Amino acid sequence: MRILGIESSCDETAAAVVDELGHVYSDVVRSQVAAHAPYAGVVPEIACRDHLRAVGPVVERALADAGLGLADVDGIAVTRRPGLVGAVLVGVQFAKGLAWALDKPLVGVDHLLGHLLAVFLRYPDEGVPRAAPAFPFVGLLVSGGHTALYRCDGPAPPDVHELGGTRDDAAGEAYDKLAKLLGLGYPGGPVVDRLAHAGDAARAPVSLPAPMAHGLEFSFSGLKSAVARHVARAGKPADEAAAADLCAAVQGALVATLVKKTLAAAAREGVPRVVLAGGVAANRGLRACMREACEARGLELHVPPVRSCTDNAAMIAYAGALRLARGERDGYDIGPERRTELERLTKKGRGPRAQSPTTIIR
Amino acid sequence: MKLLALTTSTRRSGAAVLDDERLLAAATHADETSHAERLFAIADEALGRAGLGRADLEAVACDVGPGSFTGVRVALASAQAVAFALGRPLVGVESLRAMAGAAFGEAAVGDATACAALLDARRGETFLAIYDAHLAPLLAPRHVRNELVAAELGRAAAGRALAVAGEHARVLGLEPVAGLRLVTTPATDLPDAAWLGRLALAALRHETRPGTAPVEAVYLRPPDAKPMPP
Ligand SMILES: Nc1ncnc2c1ncn2[C@@H]1O[C@H](COP(=O)(O)OP(=O)(O)OP(=O)(O)O)[C@@H](O)[C@H]1O
Ligand SMILES: [Mg+2]
Repeated sequence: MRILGIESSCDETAAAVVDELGHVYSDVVRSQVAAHAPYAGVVPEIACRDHLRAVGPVVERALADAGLGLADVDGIAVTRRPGLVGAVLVGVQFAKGLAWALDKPLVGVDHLLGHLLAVFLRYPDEGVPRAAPAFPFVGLLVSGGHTALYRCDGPAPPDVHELGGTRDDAAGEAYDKLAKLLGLGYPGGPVVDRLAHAGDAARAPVSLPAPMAHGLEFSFSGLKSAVARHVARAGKPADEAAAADLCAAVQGALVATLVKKTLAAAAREGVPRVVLAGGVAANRGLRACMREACEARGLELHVPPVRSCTDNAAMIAYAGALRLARGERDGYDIGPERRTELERLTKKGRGPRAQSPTTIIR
Repeated sequence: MKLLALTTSTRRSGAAVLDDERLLAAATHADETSHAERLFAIADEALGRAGLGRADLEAVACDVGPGSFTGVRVALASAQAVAFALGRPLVGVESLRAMAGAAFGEAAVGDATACAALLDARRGETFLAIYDAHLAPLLAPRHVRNELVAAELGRAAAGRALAVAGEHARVLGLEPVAGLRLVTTPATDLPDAAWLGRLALAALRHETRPGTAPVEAVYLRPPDAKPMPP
């Protein structure tokens, strides 16, 4: 079963052909980063216009790379939520148009579920085969718009239970805002990662504690204000070496929190498997620290290749293929939705702590 | 040639199926908040009443705006996909041109030799264009502050009779402006899929390699985006 996946929820237009075993036949991602860079963030109307111009050529390329015609695919999967509604809309209408014209099965996919399942993708050029994780696993989803820990009992939305999420910024958003404070450009994650690699946190002019929050929740606003205060006092780093040391401190603090909470979640759930997902899972520091920590605790760690951490359509096609394999199918009346369909526990902002609606009896 | 025409750029969306000049069937949907969800249902309704299947279509036409930014993208993303999937040409038609085409085509313009088409551009503005009887633009599509529309049209009329299409003309109260002849049929009030289809078929007859150039949306306004302070 070969499924064409389409993704347009934020600032990447992507299309891919994948089967229900996760084999990737093609994987095309067109990034809009350059168009948004002058604004230091994604401008919705610019994103929507760009998706509309790009979606046709990107889909055409994905089919050509897979050596297939549209008539050869067994279904169309598309990101339906969450995201910028106007951006998601372009992919959804395009996917519906393809499915409608050729009477192909259509399935909408939750983008966050796509991220969590990206670890199951198998690329032909990967070399050493990776073992797929068994269920259940604890998934750390760290992206530009979302950050949460999930207990995943299976690959369908009702199998995915949030254990705790962020109270303020997402991890990727925190990276982007910190990079902006330090004048490092947009998007911030990759730059901070690169500089941190060359820097030394011990030489940084300020010590940054790992940001803390209650239980399995996250909060990154304290770290952001600490860095803002430092910059207000001492100015932006004078040279690349100073920036590298500060980035090492920032990255160290962020990564320490992510690792600590993930281990706590695995311990609390009694689940011996951890999966990383989302754009920030591309972070070298996070991958290395999580690897070390999981090894020390005897936990299995499953990390997707970098290209399937950031937004892509292969993960959408795969999640859609699983839906189709379960016999599910959507009508041509689906539309874009702003919020995820996954269970949410943590509410943003202050307020009472969430109570988990999930009881797990072991 | 059997053609499907789609419009979702305004509060009234529409789908029409034509066979050359002949309109076979059309359907509309009047709730602007659900054009994306309903578009393929009205396309199926029109096709069904025309007695055709999706695979019978030989061309696709789409309203490319100006209109609601999101609305323009609903039909254009859909039409692009349908044309690509069927391997058929896609023809873009401007919303305002379809309205003027309807005004001339339905002989609703009286003795006027030019027709202005108006759409609500929100934010106190109007999308406006003027076409001659061959639908060549005398005034290219633009956005104009509402209070300046009467003067703009008066200047363009220059003493001759000027037909004005678009329900927005009534909202602006242009009735009493000298020389203007308000056209008020359903197909001229807002872009109409059937007229869109007719103009697309005319364009297809004149094109040598139809459907090869990418069809671009016509927004007329730049995206709202403020650059980050340096
Ligand atoms: N090497 C890296 N280190 C840290 N962060 C990174 C790295 N590479 C990318 N990022 C961050 O990942 C984010 C983008 O990830 P992703 O594409 O998954 O997010 P998104 O799709 O915008 O958000 P969401 O999936 O929540 O809708 C950006 O914030 C970027 O800074
Ligand atoms: Mg993402």
